[in-house]
Amino acid sequence: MKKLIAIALGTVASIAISASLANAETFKIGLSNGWVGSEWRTQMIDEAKAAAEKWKEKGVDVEVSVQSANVDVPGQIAHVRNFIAEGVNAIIVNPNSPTAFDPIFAQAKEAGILVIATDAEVSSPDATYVGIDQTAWGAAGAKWLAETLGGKGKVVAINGVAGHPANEMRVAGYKQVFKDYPDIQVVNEVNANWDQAQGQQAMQNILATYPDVNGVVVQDGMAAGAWKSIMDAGKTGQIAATGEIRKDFIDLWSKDKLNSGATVNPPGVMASALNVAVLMLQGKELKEPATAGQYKNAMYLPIPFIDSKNLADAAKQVDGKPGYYSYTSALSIEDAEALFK
Amino acid sequence: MTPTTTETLSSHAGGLKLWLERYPFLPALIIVVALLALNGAFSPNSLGYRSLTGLLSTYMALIMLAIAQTYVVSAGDIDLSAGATLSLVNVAIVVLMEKWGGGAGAVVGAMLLGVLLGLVCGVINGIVVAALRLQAIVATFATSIFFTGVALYVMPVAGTPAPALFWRTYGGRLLGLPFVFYVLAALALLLFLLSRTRLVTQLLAVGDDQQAAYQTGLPVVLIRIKGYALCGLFSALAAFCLTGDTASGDPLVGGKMTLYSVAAVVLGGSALAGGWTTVVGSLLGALTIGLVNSLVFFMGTPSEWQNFVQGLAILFVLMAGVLAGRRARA
Amino acid sequence: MSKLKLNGVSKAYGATLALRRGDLEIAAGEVHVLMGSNGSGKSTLCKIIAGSVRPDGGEILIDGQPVTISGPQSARAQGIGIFYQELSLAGNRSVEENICLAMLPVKARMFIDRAALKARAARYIDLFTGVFGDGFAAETLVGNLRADQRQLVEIMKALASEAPILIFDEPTSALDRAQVDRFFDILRRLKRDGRGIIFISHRMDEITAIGDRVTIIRDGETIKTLNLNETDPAAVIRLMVGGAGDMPASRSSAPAVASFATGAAMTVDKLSGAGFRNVSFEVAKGEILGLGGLHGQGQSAMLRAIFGAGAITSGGIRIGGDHFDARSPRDAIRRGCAYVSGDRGRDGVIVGRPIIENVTPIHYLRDRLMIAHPRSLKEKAMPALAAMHTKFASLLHPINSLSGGNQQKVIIARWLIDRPDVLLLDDPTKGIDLSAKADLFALIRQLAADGLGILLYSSEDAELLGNANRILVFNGGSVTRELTGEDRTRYNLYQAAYEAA
Repeated sequence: MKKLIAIALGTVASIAISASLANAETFKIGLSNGWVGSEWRTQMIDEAKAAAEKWKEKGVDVEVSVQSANVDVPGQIAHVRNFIAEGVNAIIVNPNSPTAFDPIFAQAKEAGILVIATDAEVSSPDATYVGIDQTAWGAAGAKWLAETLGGKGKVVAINGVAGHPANEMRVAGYKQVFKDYPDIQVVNEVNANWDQAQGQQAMQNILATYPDVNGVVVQDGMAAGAWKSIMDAGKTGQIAATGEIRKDFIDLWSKDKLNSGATVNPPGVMASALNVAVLMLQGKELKEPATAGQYKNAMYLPIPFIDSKNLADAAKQVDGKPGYYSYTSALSIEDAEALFK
Repeated sequence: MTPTTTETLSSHAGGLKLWLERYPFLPALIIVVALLALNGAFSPNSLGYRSLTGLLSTYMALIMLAIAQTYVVSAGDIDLSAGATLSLVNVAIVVLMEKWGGGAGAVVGAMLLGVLLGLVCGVINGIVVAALRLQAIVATFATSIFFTGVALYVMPVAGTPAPALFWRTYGGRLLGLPFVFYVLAALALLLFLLSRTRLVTQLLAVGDDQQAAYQTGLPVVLIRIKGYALCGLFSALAAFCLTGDTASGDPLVGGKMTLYSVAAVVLGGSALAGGWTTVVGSLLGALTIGLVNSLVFFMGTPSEWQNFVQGLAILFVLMAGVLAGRRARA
Repeated sequence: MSKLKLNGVSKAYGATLALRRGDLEIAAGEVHVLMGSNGSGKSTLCKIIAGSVRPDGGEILIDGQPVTISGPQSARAQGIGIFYQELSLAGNRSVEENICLAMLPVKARMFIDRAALKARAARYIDLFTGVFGDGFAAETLVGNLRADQRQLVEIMKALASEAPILIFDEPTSALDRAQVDRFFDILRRLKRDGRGIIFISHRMDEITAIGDRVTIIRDGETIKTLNLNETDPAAVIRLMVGGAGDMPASRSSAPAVASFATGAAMTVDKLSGAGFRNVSFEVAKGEILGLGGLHGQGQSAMLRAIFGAGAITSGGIRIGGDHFDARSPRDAIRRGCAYVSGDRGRDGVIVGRPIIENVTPIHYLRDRLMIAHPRSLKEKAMPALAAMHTKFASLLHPINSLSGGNQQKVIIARWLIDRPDVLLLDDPTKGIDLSAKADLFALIRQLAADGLGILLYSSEDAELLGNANRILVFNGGSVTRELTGEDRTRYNLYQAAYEAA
């Protein structure tokens, strides 16, 4: 008798669940960020949260759960463990290491959780990378510089943290491009650890050592520092250098008519990844499976580029925002849907 | 010993004080239990068998590193290169395992060389600090940069995967029990044996009062070098656990862990000045750090406040432990 | 043949000669006493034998063979055990571990043999059964013990070396009568076993009770060795004092009774605290009151307590007419009390900061200055420094760039900008050169003439005899004798200091 009641109740319960699913889908998504040293990361999280809100209009309830703190690699593995314990449907990670997450992602997948990495690629076959191709990112800036210099001149590179995967890929990207321009001579490469002050210092040293330098390849926030040194040296008109995407720099760029071009690494990547994740959770299938990149698990997003032609549009987007706000772009829900069957 | 002396002992030292002297890790233990209870209250799942196993396998590396740090702290020294040593051993064994084909022989061979490498790093630190008499903080900071440089030479970019045999064993089960439990048991045995060695007593005597130890006729320089060697050895063991958990090599992975290891030592109830340390406390201190991080999340702290609350919580735990210990021992 | 023989051993620390010439011969089966005043080189001599100080010259022979003692380890290996005056114990280790620390018994070459360790320690602990008092057990941490019990542990540790040559550098200073008696019983037994024992104590009664021969050290030189049963305490003290011992306070000495300004600068009534008890005296305005006696008999402890840096348990202090009980040095300074210590590193110098900052902190405190103009500060600092004949290149140079003597002058100068009423001098000339000393004492006398009350403790008896109007001799924490007028002789000072407490 008791058994019978139990079965009956169970049936009712399962009917109730499927009914509610039909009305409003509910997904719980964990977002993990292992480094909070820049506003870019904060903006990344905020945009992802906003993207989750947008799904309400589509009748999908996306609940995000965020872990964002300065942690070491084991600390971020613990993030993932916490998400597994919490029972989320999907995990989106901006990973501190490309390879260290293989075992824990395998466990997550075993637990039926969708795993997506963004901003930095991971080697795990159990995860999908949704983000930009850092090699292409590096290449785009170099290509702009080479063309701006008319295919010849002396160039220096100011790179980020040696040994960091994104940095190594970007370096590979610009090297690949410069190979096609035999008259471009890379006279020196230095590491300034993605630090604006170090970037400024490095540029000062470069200007002292190579007064006849024509172009500079420099990444992200270091660009603002490098440009400061170039302007201080009064060489604004003589040197072309890549730029960055924060409002402060874009304002300076417009005002002083810098000869610059910035590849955009939009903080919206995590929002894009979230939209892709929800569609995947809904059981949709990608038109082209994510098999790009060195780990054969990547789905690359388009990389916007700002140069003098579209600078005004970029300035309009960041108008009224705080100085640290980055120019952004993300896949809208519709953009993302277009990628699925 | 005469019967009279045992009687006077209990009357002299208060009960709590005596307990703390014998088991200096008690406050840390209470804190860990309290944190487990809080984690359980906010997220019952987090006390599940699977979650606890996960906690242990993720924080085993920090536990090992904190224990490594404890042995140098015993002698009044410090090792800011422990994390860099971990990174170096991590990339070295991953590269060697890959080179040798990833079989059982390769794994064992690479681990033996890893232990040796850890010992070498430790001895280098010991010589620099004890024999050349450089300030421990500055000297080991310098060697940490050096070791990181070597690690970057061995593996310029994070990425080479460890053989599946290695990490599937670490993350897997043996005779029905998770492998980390065996690691924990082996660690407990090792710590028990070490606590009985002459070296550990000598390290503590040196940490207590280096001049007194020297005047007693202890070979102070040699003892301190051995302390650093022990630290290097445990840093290598930490690297094995980390490699087991992350299944890959990363030349920068340990950098952030160094200061956590120092924090764990203090959270566990050891005196950073030396002479009074507890390895069990350091183990609990490492778990405390892990549990605080999880608790902050399970409590539902907004993401922009997570670092703040974590720092505050660790500071609070530190104060509670240190004050309780100080009051009881005073 | 002698067990241990030292020939012309010497040791210098920089320009200071700690030991000029040490000659010593220890026979098997004797207790050989070393006697000498503070800083005469006794401890240096002991440390050279024990290997913790390397000698600059001379030779050491053990059983007639010349040996090199390269460190404490090598000293132990060659059969030398030592009790250190400042103790060599690990506070967080147990009594038994401390006793056996130098030679921990092991099994399997690395694990401590607990049973053997316990047994070995018990052998030495049992020697003192009944006298070590409450709270003493083999497992107790040394840090939890009382001072006398710690001293006993250091004795046991020295005994545990089972060395043929044993050195005891002031082993009885904190022990009570029963403990000393027990210790002497043990020493007598060791004597019968044929050990050679070096013994240092400042209690004349102990020396005559246990000693066989005595060697007198004066100004870093071993003067003479005597058989104790053929001599008397007065003769020993006369040797320690040197030829001029009977002369009343010598060269340009302070007048016995100065024409003091009216009234008392400071009155101390039945003052007790950690390290001193029941001390009463009065310092007149314009008087220099000397505090004499052996090192560590309560003089420094009392001066620090008056200055608010140590505990006072009972008694009262008045400055002028007002009741004075400084709870902190800050309070004491505000109320016109000044303190200069010989331990500049601990109590005076702000290391690495410019001279100007080292001259002015008291000025800031007493004038409640928040912001000061460098030029006006300089105007105040310069006369104070000039009064001391301080040699320096610029006020902005770090104080470390000066010699010890000039550093001390800067420290004293800081008290001269705003004059205090009472100046406490705690062995102020420690480690400074002769000309600086002369400048310093000229100034101290000038300050006295200006009406300050000055308390001067010095470990150098000549300084006391030459500058103090009166001398209170401390022994065991209280004043045992007051020397005035013609009584202020070196001999009297020593005699009072070495009397049994």
